[in-house]
Amino acid sequence: MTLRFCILVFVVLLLAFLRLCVGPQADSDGNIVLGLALPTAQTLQFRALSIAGAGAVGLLLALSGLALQALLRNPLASPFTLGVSSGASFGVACVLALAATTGLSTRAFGGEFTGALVGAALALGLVWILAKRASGRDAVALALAGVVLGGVMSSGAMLLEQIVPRGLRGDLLAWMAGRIPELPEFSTLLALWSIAIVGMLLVWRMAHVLDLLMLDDDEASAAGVRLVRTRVALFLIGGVLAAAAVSFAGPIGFVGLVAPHAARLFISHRHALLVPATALCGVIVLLGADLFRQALDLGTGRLPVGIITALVGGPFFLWMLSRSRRGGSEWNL
Amino acid sequence: MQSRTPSILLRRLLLACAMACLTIGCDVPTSPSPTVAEADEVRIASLSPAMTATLVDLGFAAEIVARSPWCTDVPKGLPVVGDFREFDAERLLLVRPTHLVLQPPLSGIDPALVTFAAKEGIELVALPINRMEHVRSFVRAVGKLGLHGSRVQERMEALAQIPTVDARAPRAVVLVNAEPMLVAGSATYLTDLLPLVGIRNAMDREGWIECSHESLALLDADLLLGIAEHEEHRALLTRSLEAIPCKAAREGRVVVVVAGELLRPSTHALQAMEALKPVIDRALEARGAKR
Amino acid sequence: MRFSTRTECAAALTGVDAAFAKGRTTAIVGANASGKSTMLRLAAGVLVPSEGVVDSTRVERASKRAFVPQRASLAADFSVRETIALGTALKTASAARVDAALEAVGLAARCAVRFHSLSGGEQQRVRVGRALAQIECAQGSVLLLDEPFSSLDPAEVARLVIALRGFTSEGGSVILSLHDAGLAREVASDAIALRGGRAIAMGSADEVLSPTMLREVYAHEMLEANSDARWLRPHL
Repeated sequence: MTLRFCILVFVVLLLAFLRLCVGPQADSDGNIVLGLALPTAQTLQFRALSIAGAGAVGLLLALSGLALQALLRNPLASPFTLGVSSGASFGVACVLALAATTGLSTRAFGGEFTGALVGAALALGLVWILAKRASGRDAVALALAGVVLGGVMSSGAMLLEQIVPRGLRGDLLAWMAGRIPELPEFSTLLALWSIAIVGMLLVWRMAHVLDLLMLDDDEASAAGVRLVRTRVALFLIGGVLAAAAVSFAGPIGFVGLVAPHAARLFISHRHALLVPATALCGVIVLLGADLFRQALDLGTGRLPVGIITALVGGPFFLWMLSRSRRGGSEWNL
Repeated sequence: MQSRTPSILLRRLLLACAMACLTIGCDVPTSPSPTVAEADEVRIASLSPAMTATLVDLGFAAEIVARSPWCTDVPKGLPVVGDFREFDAERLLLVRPTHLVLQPPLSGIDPALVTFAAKEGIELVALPINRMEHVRSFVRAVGKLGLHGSRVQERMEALAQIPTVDARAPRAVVLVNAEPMLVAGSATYLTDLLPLVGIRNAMDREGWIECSHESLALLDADLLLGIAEHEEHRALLTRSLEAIPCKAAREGRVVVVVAGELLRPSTHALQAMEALKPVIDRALEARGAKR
Repeated sequence: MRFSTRTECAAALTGVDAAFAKGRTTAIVGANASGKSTMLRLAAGVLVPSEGVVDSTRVERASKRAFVPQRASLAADFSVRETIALGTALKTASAARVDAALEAVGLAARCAVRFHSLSGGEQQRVRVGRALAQIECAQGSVLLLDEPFSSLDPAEVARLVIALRGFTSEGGSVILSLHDAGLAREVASDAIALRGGRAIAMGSADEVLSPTMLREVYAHEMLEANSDARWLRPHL
């Protein structure tokens, strides 16, 4: 197990190192080419910021996915399944629309960050209320409520796209593809990492409870788990982590779904190990996607990172699903 | 977890790493761009296709060193350094522009870009380009560079000479996309340009309007004008316009031109519109004869 | 442990007043929907009675009372050992207790096998093992099992019964719900018969599970085959 953790850490470091070294550079003829070389002081700063941003987003999304999966006892749960990402997109769409119709800057309405946060919180809250009304805190009802609400939120964002001036549509589309901002501010990164680390420690502290949540509700409750309190905590942690990630980088899909499963596959299903492993896997997925986008030059600009995670994460998830069919248990990925 | 899983995973991982290294190893030349900037040399990075079109029209093709993915008026080989929302700091640094021109998104310019430009001593020219008056402001800004003075002067005069809308001029529907049907409304540069060919816009709603055939029929325009980006779009636009159940369509007052430069608000669009005068006059003659 | 409760709304269980003795195995028998599961869940502290009290002051800590519901799933791919160790998850992990539980349910040799690759009977033993690991000391503790033998073959039933007898012999109490009266007579020393949410008989297994009483419990003649579980004896 220690060896496997070492491998994960090594992969993180390797990807970070590659990300530091890969980038465009001018060759002797003055052409801009992709190259592998130690960064200059200036590019080092750019690339380090990018690594910090991608790593934080990966960590946040992966842990949010893990918390929500434990909450729902549902291997398909993720910030996407619960409609958090759509809610955040809707929030951003609202802020952009307000800014466009009033002619003010988005900062007058708290900026895109606030919009995403409010939208994500709204989606989570609504899903929670809906599921509670539906049938207690039934996991399937909650997931279904999330999917439906996600659809409604996406439609809401699209409706806004239709009624705002045409110039805004591009903004929204770009937002929804999921991008890691270029040269994020240090304070933003600091806030992001603080949320990520605090969230991880909180989930890690709950590791044993999360293990017991894998049992039936009655069994877990009889074993001493305070179900309501635990679930509210998981809901808040999962929501805040996802909202932070989405408000920073847009709705980047599949990380919250793939990272926890990859960690289960490679390390363990026990949460004491799974929490750090999931965090590492999330960082790996995003760093890998960011490296890929950096190392791929189609001559049309860099690809949004969300496209890469979906292109890589989707098939990976399908592959895991096909394995699980043979394995018998839906969690036996 | 099966025991063979990690080894497979590891192998795949190594394979992926190897492939990544290979990809990186392949030197893909993306642009010819001189590395040494001379004193008072002008190097422009354009993140806006419309601005690129104007710059090229003003004779600045050689000064443009970087582009957005959608800038079609400059060689494809120029490095792509961003678009209206995102920028690529590393590539920008490598092309070392003296000026960065862009249309700010509605949500405002990325503050990181402003900081970056200030730090690197890049002059930021951020202007909205929706109307011809915006194009004029941009040309004025470009004029301050002191290059290609006569061309800039000439275009400034042409821009100043665009006639104002004549309330008695024939009314036209200007279709720029067939599916969905997208029509230029008021407060667009196309509306500003129409008086050049003696017509005015029949659509009085602001912006770019998605329309149905029925709603366009209600406008009862005198002329149906389609502007296609490529030759292959011509048939689609023609079919769309001819299907509008109105008098103009029945009487064949449908003009479809292939003029991509008209789809970007620029000084080039001004030239292109002027060139349409004979075609449009011919189409309107039929109407005059009938009257 | 003693509790009395009355649940009005669904009337799953009405006016039941039962006490459970130490070191005994009590079977709760009754037809489907007679309130067996409700009673167990009340006793396990999972449900709160809408009226009345569950007096379980002596066993209310999770280390004194463990519950194995009827249809439980495990939403993770744990090994046998990891699953049983869930019983000690909330305390300082005690490897010795996990080992003892593994031994008690006879799965020490298969501790590294994945839970989901086990047979139904083995899975059930693992779940009982988890409950045993949860209990710190058998003396004065209660193990609650909801239909533990459903869909197990005779050999598996016997292995489980042996594990439960080990627990009662150390002074623990077992309360289990069963729809099979014959099986109840074989494995339990005491019994409570429920019908329509009311306790209609309570006492030693032989008394409560007499043919006359059973006729009342199930509201029809018991088939001989169902009233007898002598098939179990050779396995014990």
